[in-house]
Amino acid sequence: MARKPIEYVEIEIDGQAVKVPANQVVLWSARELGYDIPHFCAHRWLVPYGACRMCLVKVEAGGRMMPKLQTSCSLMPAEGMKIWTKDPEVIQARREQLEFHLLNHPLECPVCDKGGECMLQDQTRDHGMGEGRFREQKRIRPDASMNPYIRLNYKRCIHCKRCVNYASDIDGSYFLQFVDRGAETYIESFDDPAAAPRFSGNVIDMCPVGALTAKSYRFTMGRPWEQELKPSIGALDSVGANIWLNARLGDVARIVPRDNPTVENGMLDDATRFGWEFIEDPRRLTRALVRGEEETRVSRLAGETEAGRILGRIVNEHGPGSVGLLAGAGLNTEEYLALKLFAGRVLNTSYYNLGDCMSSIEVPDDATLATVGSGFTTIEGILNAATVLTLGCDLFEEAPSLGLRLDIAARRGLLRLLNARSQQSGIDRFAELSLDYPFGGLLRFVRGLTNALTGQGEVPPEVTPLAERLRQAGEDCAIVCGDEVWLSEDPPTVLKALAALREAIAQASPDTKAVYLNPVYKSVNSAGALLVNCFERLTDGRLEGVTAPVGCLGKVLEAAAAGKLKALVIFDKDVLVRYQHRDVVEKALKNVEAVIYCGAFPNATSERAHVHLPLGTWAHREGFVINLEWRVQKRLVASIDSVAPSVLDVVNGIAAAMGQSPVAADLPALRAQLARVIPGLPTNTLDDLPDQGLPFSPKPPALDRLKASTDLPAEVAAPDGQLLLTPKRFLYNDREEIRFSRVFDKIPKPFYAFLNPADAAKLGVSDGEWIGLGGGHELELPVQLAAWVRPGSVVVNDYYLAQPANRLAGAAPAAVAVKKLAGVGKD
Amino acid sequence: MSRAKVGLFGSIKALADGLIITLKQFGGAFGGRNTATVQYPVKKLKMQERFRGLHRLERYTEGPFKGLEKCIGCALCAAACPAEVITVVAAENTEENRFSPGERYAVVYDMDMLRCIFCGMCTEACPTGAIVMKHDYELADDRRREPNKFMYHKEDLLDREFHW
Ligand code: SF4
Ligand code: SF4
Ligand code: SF4
Ligand code: FES
Repeated sequence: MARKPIEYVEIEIDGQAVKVPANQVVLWSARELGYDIPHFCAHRWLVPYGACRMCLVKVEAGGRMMPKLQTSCSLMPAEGMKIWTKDPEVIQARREQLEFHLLNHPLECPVCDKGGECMLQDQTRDHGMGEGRFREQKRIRPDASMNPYIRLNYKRCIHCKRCVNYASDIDGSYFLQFVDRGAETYIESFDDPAAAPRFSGNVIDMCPVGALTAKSYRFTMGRPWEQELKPSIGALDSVGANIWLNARLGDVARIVPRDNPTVENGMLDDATRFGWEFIEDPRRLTRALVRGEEETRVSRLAGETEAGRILGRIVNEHGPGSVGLLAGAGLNTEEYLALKLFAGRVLNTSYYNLGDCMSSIEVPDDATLATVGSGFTTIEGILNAATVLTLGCDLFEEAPSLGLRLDIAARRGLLRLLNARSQQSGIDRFAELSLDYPFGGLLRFVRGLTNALTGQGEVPPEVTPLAERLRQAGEDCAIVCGDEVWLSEDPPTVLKALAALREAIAQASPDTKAVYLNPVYKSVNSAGALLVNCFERLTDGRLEGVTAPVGCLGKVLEAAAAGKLKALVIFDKDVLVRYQHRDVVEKALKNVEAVIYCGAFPNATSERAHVHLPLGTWAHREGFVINLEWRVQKRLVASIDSVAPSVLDVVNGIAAAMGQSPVAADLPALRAQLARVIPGLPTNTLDDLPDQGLPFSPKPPALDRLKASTDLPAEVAAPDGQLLLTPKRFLYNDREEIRFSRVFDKIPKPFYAFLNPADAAKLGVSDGEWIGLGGGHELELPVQLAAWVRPGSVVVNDYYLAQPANRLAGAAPAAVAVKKLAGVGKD
Repeated sequence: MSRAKVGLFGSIKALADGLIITLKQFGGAFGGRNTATVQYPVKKLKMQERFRGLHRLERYTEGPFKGLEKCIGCALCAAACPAEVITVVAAENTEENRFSPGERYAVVYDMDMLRCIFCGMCTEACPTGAIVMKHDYELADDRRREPNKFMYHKEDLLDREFHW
């Protein structure tokens, strides 16, 4: 938004006068206009490098012919410049250049995984000689593994250096390097075997030839032209990365980016790209599990009948409001509507909570809904802001593609990046300022910062440098907040404090025209879940026979723990591990008469259920999801052999067993109903929604002014000899997409107690030794020393089934006693 | 040639010519010299060299790869096939378990012969000459309902006995 308007210059290409942007190299402008200039090393993410010389054009500038052909990938246009792309000289140069590229290139397209989508193949056909003249021995060197995902076929590399430049300039991991010189140059990987790769898979798309290929796609998954492509959405974060789900012969074959420049811009994280095996994992539940005296596997229908029988009895005996319903945030938006109807019409309860962000007790109030439902901007808007402030989030872990794009923009100086969160994070590397505070201190920090900007109330000294910078926030400023908000005791309070901060920045920085607040939600459809959960107030929609929820997740669980609810119905949500107060969940699961769980895979919560009903994974259920910029996007199912029920199938099955009519006839009917009850939601039919999705604006309750508190909560600190327990969200954790995909078995997952080296020295532990956390050693984890950990804290993975952090974090922030475990051996 | 120019005499001549050929062939069937009709199935024709009959997957019969399959599982035959007859699934050779030279081989090679139109595109597309069309033309069967009766798998196509 703050960008200067693009200036255009007029140049001539092949005798045609055209207008092209002055700030873009001729190669891209010409290609956009349909002139076919071949290229290998240029890539829209990278700065011009000029290695391959395929993009040569003839140029006349300033009235004089340039003496030699120029590389259009590094040529900036100038007024009156003349370019020739089809001159005989150019064609000759291209052909000879291509012959050089092919000198050492093997003739093995038939066995090459890139064949069919290979730039070298295409260009050889269009611009090549048709026959090789090189009869000598070609260069050979065996293949090598670059990291757990990627294999290098050395012979095919044409030394364009895209991958190396990506590793240094884009993802910054430097995991690939050129070694040696000239024709003998090869690529060596400097992958840290202890660190899990995060953005490495993108080099597979970038490599113009088949040198870098995915191990998981190698040979067995078919050729590119044999794939059936279905648009879908990366399920691991709330950016909603656009992907193509490829299927062949009834199996999922791979995931490739769908390149939506406004959403993820083709940048996928490795967990999204390679995490598809779980879809067909044999451990996925295909029949229902009923646990009485013993565990029995029955058909899905029998399972639904059993669930319906139990729920029917409870609703009959105890009347309305005796059943609680919880749902995770991985479902589709229309499925939330089905659940809302199910809760209201079939279960007759208002104890329900859809989604995973608002783990608080009370339903979010109007001010909270106004905070999340308005004043946000698009992902493009964040990236184009003059200043971006990330608060309480580690974007590389929580929304990797957004994090990477912000990181690049900060590196290139396109925006000022300011960070404040409880630990240092990867995105700090190009930030202008990064501050940390003890975990749990987000609210104090935000209020302190607001006070510093408004000049009212108490100001903690650590916020001053940040306040200074925010006073000159530039034309517009975007605040991005994340997991620490959702992990806090009361997310609505923090959100309202953030809204007050937004206003404070707008007032304190005189030339700032707009300040946005964009929460990064926990899951792919958290926004959709919130929308349906609170749609009575977030939109002007109405629905007969359904009451608004009485409270949030905490309320439902506490009612169950108090014995008020007699049954819990849980859809795809591992509450036992995911909710901070494990004791409450334990009590709730114990005190209800029945727990009905519905989900694709077993987890800690489902093991405690009396009936576990099967559910499809995201690849089996088509529908709409809404991402962090409230863009409505669709995910379709690919033709895979395995079929699995949707949420609607399950709730209709239970309703039928209870003698009730179905909540909706089928998914299209449900979609039409959703579009009716939430005006403006473009979900009428799946076909009408473009693949790129459409933006949607909720209509939250209007607020004149936020009455924000200026009180600072007490500073969080661990007593002497204890450390502050910090559950942190990591990209690789125990969620089912990762746990049940074999490809990740080889990835070192961050299931450690991360300690600052100073604390570790004090405790006398080193890497790989085990420590016990908590008085009774509730958590036992191997140590990993990490300089990014704030001294005085111990960071643990927030979703690790074997050692769930919420065994300890009864009420975050929790200070825990830490002890070295002598008996437990090294890893 | 327009009809008017042929004239009555021309028409009768053409009729007679045709009839003479028929009579000659008729005689031939009983052992005459000009045999066009054969007493199938007692007698069978030797097909022309380039006749396109049932496929076979070839092996190397000499050289360093002797005995290995020629097919490398590239699926170009399947891509070329206009009738979607062929399904190829590739896999990787290992040193212990080697099927073809190089890294890649076809672990599944299925042909649905009910669909094949015998155009020969697959043989043209094959980079290694692995799939060839031989002279077998007796492909009919009345057991269509038998599962996979007309689905030729890799085992059926490799090392296939050819009759003539
Ligand atoms: S990289 Fe491209 S040109 Fe080279 S063998 Fe593979 S498909 Fe063929
Ligand atoms: S591996 Fe691919 S991307 Fe990297 S230099 Fe070689 S050809 Fe270019
Ligand atoms: S028969 Fe030939 S074209 Fe078909 S998969 Fe085998 S090698 Fe490729
Ligand atoms: S694209 Fe211009 S030199 Fe490679």
